[in-house]
Amino acid sequence: MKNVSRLFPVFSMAFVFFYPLADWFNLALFKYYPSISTFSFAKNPAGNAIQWYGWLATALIFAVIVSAIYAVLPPRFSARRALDYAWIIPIGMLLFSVYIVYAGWWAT
Amino acid sequence: MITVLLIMHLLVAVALLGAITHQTLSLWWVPAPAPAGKAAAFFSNYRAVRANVYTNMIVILFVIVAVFGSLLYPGYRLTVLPFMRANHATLWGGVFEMKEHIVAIGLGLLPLYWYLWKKVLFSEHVQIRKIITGILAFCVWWSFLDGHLINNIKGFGP
Repeated sequence: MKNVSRLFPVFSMAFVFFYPLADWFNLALFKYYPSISTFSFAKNPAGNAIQWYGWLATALIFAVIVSAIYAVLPPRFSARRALDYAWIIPIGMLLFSVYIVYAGWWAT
Repeated sequence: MITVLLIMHLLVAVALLGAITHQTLSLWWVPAPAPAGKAAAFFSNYRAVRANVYTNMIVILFVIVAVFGSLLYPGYRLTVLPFMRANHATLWGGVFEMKEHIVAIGLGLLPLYWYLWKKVLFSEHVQIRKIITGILAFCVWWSFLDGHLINNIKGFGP
């Protein structure tokens, strides 16, 4: 618990990596139906579901799992050495998000 | 209620925008010392801040703005999005969806951002600190301008 902050870079990278994938592969943990103010794990006939909260939850779960795995690795697998390359994932995933929006909205 | 929430969302976003802009400019464009006997120019003073002091507040403000935004989001989905779909405003529908993704990525970056400012010596990992802070500033500016554009297409008011 004392050194939990050493997991922060790994958590961030995992979250940023998995969030757009959760959208792309339709992996929302749950959906929210605003017209009936209901969260649901199953498909609901109410339609017009918000998946954004579910994508965040999915990314959060994956990020926690990856951080937990990293936490039990021996110190020689330290991510601190790779810190200088941590910009690659957010920039790559921002570009991938542009593609997701392009495919979903602008190319149709 | 939704209008009150929208105004609070805006006010906290303005505070966040100011804080992250101060910090990012101070990092990317270090002010030169003013010549002896002369006062520093306005922009030099704007950048000459103790950037580290802003970090915790930026994290807190980002989370608060995101929470307010997520509370407003169902209203957008029920009123503004159908309006845009009905009017074939796919450009703007996509622009707002981009905001969803950018906010999510910004939220995900917060632990790394905090770590780089608070747990790494200021003289170490300088480039990555600059880049991650820059990406976060981009997320904040995009979200702010994006929200305004969409709000002006069709307001959230009753």
